[in-house]
Amino acid sequence: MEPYLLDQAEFADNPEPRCPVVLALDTSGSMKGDPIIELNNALREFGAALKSDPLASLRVELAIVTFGNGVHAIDVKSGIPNETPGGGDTRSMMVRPKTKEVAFDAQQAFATVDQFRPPVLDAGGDTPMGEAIRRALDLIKGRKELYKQNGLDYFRPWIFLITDGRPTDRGWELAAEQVKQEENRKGVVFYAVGVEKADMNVLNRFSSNRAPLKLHGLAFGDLFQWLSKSLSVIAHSRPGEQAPLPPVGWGDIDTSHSDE
Amino acid sequence: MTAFLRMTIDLNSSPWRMAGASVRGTSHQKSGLPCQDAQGFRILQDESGPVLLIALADGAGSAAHSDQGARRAVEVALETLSAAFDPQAAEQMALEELELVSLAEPVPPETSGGAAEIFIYEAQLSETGEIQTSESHMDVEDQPEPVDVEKLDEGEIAAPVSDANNELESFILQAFGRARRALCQMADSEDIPLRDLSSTLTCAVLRPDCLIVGQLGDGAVVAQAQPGEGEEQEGELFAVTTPQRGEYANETYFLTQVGVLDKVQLHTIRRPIKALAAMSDGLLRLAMKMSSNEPHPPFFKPLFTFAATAEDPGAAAIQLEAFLNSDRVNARTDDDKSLVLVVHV
Repeated sequence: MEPYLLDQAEFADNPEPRCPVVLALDTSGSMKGDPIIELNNALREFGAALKSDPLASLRVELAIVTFGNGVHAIDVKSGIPNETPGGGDTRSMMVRPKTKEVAFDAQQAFATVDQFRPPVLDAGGDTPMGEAIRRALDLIKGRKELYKQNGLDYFRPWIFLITDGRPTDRGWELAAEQVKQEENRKGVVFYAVGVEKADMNVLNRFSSNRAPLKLHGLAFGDLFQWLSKSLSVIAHSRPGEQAPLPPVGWGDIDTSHSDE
Repeated sequence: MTAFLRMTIDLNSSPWRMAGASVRGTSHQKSGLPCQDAQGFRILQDESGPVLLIALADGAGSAAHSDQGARRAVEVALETLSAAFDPQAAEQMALEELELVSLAEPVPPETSGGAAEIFIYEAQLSETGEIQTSESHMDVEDQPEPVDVEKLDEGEIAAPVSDANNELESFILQAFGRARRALCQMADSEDIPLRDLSSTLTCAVLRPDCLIVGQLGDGAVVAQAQPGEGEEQEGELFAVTTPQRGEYANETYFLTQVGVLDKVQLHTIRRPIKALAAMSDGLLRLAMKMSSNEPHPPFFKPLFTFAATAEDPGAAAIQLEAFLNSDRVNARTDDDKSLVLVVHV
């Protein structure tokens, strides 16, 4: 027997399966001040947490769609570099970086975690939530197409919606129906999170599987820590695994629905 | 049915050299779960020559008892396939089926956790070449319809199907049904949820002139044909089965799912096989080009050469285990890994 033959076996190169996640974030006027600051901080920590998981770094792909003064796809592949602790370029600390936008294109809008640059978001304007959801669904559809064209495997995509108000655009009910049906078809996983004065009854219309969650105060940090751990679990999961997500400590299921 | 002789002969007097191993992956090492892969093989003899039976099962992720589920599935698969070469055992099995058919009631999906379910399948190949299966209660006297063959090369004429291979195909399908039933019975007697025993299953019957493989789940079987007359040295290396996926990367089929027996894939290769490898999905990313389901020759060739020089399967298994547990393999996968290598020498 020649055991050294086993050393000669060479491995195939295969691309990693992908887990696409669209964060649909409310940047309307009511988010000005503390809420948007907390959100931006949480996004930075979120990126760092995912980057510390080598498998999640290669598998999780992020896109950010904001709604406030219109609906925008945010460039998550550039922006300020992550600040190095206790040092780094003082210039970058003084100049406020401009958040860039990209086209609503499945190629451009997503960044794998290892390329992810957390944006710094501004708040202002109304709340076109319906359109944001529609855009998120389109981006996911487009991303799945790209995967199929390139022979990539993928996990079930996520849409993660955070809002502190209610939709101001007409036809949001239709968008809610669309995402609800897509989730029932197992085409997407959908989470809705309400902050402060968010209208939880409205959010309830977006899913039949999962009640919307109400964030404790402005605990965006906790929320995104949970999300990064959950995505790590998914990225590591294999067929047949129960893949339990960590418990939600950052919010509660809202039980105060009125009969509307 | 022609009479078959059944003798267990040792590997050295068979035309094959083999090495097989299953090792616990680093993920289960960390979580304290056992290796959830299982494998087994038997060598038999019938009047037309030696027969090698192989079964390989991969227990589902973190399902609590899927290691037991995988082992039981392998046991039952080998027992079922062996009966194809033992008329008494085959008759016993058929009687068992008839008894269960008369006693069983259809079970609604939600309560399938405990009840035994009976499926006896006939395989029929439609004109488009797709394998279709139909549920039926098969009498002992019934012969399955002739099944067309799978073509290996463009233009190769399909030989008329012999009764013997037909029956083997039907025994393979029965192996899946009986393995599923055994898991249902185990769930019942141990009082655990059926899904805790979830497992995939691959089984193969190898003879000097053909190979028949059944698979449910995301494992893979790869084969190398013997070179034909006047052909150059090595036959083509090809994937016999396709790992089964749902739409998403972390979904596949398990024996424990309701209605899953419809998904069993059956492949018959009517050519002499030079070498064969069966593996669980832990090795797929290393061994195959996933997007096209093609075997990666630089992975398999050294392994086949290793197996060909293996005179003692026990020692070869230990070396294979060391390979599967090596740093360079573990850098690429944290899953349990199984590999069975067979070479015709």
